[in-house]
Amino acid sequence: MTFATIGTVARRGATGFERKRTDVAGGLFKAVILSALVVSLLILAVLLIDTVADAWSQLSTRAWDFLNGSLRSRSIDDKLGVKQGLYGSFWIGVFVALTAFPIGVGAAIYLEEYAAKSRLAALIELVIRNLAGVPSVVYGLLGLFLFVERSTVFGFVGLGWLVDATGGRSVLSAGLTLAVLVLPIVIITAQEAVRSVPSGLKEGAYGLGATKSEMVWTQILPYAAPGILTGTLLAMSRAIGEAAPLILVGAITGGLTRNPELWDVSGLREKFTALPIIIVEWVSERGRDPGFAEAAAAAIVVLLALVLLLNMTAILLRNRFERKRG
Amino acid sequence: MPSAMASLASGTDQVVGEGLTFQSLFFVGLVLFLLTLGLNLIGDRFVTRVREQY
Repeated sequence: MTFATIGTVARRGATGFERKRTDVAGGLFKAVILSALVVSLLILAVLLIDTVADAWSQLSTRAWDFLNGSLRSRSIDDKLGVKQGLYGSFWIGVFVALTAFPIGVGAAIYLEEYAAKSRLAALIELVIRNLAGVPSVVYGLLGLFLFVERSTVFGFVGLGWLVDATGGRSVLSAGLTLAVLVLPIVIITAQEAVRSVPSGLKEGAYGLGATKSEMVWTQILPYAAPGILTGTLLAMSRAIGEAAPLILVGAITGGLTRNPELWDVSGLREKFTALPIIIVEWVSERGRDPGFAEAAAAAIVVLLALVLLLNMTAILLRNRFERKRG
Repeated sequence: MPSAMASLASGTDQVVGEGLTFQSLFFVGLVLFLLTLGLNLIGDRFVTRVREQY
């Protein structure tokens, strides 16, 4: 109601039928929402500047060494760096992409195109939406139970062969756990993308004699690709930033003997660490050795750059596919 | 609660096998899960009620 009255008053004022009245409430509202935007951007900017300033002493003098170095007990060590964390985070990303992407997209297409609209389907949708909101530690527990420890919880016996396959506390376990974590997000975004395919396209494909699976491959997937890809990459950047589930799955910072190359697959079933874990560790070490505060800030910058890279790839890919669709 | 769980899990090697810490971790996890499930159910009911007015 208020909006309508404000509108009529303004219009009458403009045509000169009535004395012009200033719209105080509207102006105030605009100022409030604008300041909400400015405040949130300011907080972000302050955080960023503060972190980069702390990280500067590491990144400006020895950026390459920092990327290639390994975990050390002292912060003024020449070999201090985040290579092991990069290795862990990189392979976590790879496993998330390899498992969550096909399973998530498959589930989304099934739910949108094949499943009958029943009460069961509605219940499954609700469950998926709920799973997307479950705290990530709970997924860490799931990973601990499924991939890491041979255990019995509430009378449920874990799958021993899965534990054997992942090698317990390994990057493989962590990647699979985080894949499960982002699966609901992938499904929801992919469903959204599949739903946005115009029904004219689908009916056109049927009209030309396509079967359902041909229609899915030739119409739905290409049209929904930008949305699906964006969703998957955003989910991946979330997986890379997670720390809590990794703590439970057994990421460690001490006792890592090797510093493998990024593409060295022999380390996949061994002890591992990841960038968020390194950050947590270094922040907690800064009381003992203040230099670790700067190292932690530098690791944060590396992680931020990684996530930013993923998000930018998502945007670029989406723009490219959308142009093709045009 | 997540932080309580993380501190239970990190630092100790007790998160192994069938120990009491291990089991209590899962209990806290279950509580967290049920909490979010309940909140989601309430939210969903609210959303469907509001949507039906259109």
